[in-house]
Amino acid sequence: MGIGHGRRFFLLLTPIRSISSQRGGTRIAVVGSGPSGLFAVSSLLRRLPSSSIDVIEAAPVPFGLVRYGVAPDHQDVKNCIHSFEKMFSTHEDRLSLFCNLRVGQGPKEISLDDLRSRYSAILLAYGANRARRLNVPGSDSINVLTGSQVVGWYSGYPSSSPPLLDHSSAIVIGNGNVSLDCARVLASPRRLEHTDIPDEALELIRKSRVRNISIVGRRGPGDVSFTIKELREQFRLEGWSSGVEMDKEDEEKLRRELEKMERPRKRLMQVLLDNIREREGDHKCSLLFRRIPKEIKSDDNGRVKSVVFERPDGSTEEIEAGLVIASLGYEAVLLEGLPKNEKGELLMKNDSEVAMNGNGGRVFATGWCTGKARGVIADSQVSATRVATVMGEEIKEGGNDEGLNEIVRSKGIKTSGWKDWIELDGKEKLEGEKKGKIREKITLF
Amino acid sequence: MFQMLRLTLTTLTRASALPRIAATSFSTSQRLQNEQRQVKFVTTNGVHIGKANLGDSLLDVVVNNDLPLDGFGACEGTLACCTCHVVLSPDHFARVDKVNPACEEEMDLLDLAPALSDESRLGCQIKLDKSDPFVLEVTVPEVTRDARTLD
Repeated sequence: MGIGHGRRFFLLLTPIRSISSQRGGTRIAVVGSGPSGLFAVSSLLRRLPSSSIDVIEAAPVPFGLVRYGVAPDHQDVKNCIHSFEKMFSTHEDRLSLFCNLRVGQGPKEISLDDLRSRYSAILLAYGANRARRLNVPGSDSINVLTGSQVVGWYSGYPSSSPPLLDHSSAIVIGNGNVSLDCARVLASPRRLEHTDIPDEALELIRKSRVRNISIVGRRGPGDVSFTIKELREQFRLEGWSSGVEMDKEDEEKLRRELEKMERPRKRLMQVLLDNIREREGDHKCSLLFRRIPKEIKSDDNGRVKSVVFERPDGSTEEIEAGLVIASLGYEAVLLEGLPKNEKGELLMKNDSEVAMNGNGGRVFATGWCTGKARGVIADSQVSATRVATVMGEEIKEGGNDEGLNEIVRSKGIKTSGWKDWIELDGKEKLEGEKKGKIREKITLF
Repeated sequence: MFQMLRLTLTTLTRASALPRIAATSFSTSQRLQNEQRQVKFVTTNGVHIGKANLGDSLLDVVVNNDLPLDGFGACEGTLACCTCHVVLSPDHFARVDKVNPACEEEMDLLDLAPALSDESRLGCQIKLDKSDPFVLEVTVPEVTRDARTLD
């Protein structure tokens, strides 16, 4: 790989005295190139000026959920990519990217031990990539999807399959932002025209026959995890009549308790209360609460046709739907070799370091892989900065000068680096420009 | 055009050197000096000072001076995140609140900011103003929450 060559070449040309300083420094591996990992890298590069950092990414391209999670109509959130680009281009000498490289036990993967023997510290920032599934009879019916599958599809994640949008009713289960993202994206093809949504997805949404979307919460309005900006957007969708349906008791309770709430909660609840209304017209979006999914019924072809919910009074309610999106959050999948707590989450020694056994580089963690898969980009930034501060103070010089090159070569893994991404990025932008879009994502690698 | 640019540049260079020469007062330097400010960002890891011109936002100051505030202004001032969250002094907050109160969008984002306080604002929305002191101090809030319990 180019990087290894460069380094050795440099050694030959450097006077003997500086060889030791070149070999010195701290070698760090960061697993994951999403916002958590890259915010941490930016901080580490500054705090440890003689360090060199290798960023490992399982996907063929960098940026994690910024590329494959943030909705296409929220382009401004993706602006953080600009600072990441600047970071990679100004630190070429000590920052490398290895895409298409998975940490694990497979023959074409590198193990945690491989990393620990080569780096003085490893920062895990690989996120939470397993969507919680709805576990009720019939949940394996055709066109019952997870929020993560739908997000993957409209974000152009490699080998995603599209939903069927040929039925007038859809149900989105879950009261977090992913539910709102899915509902909004399906409802607003015109807002997406100039974004980075893949053409095929946009075309399918344009032809969509979905006219009736129900966003259903299992718990009450006081338990929602929406963020306020996204919630407001839902009620302002052009061409759609969107509104909240709330049980009288819930409404009265919320109104009573509103004054005692902290500002953020109070303002969020106010948006819900202000939007209690009947939906009318031929495009309706309803926010419903206290409906626990009990069964998914399917037609003769195995395709979903309705969902049966249980209400607080024990009665049941059946809502028709040709598409069900269950958006119940994400769980972190622990990499093999990591310690876990009684909940099966990553076992931490303190708020930044993993309680590892055995020898080798110290292992730190930040972001969603540490357990709670929630929060906005500012939370990732805060958590990343914190862990980088601790690492900056605590980790020692060391690590193998060769880094990953030798092992990647010997296992025959075909990784791609920052230069490959820049080339791809250029192609995507050029292709997008022709169509009046920000970019046309490449979805086949 | 090009010449004019060069002229402005020399004036600027000279003017910036002037404050160090005591008691010299040219009208241009005076004017430039009047339009210059410093912003002191107080963080848990130390203090960072940046030069500023009137009209600059606090985010501009961080970017133009390349201040080491990690991830500050991730959305580049487009009101799409809250990473440039700062806490103003009560005086400063009141002053800004009169002329430029937080709009609904800013409030919505601030509601998501870790360590929100009554004097919180987004740095991208706060501009340096004539009424600001020569050295303006703002706090980048201390963040001590356990990374695993962020919610």
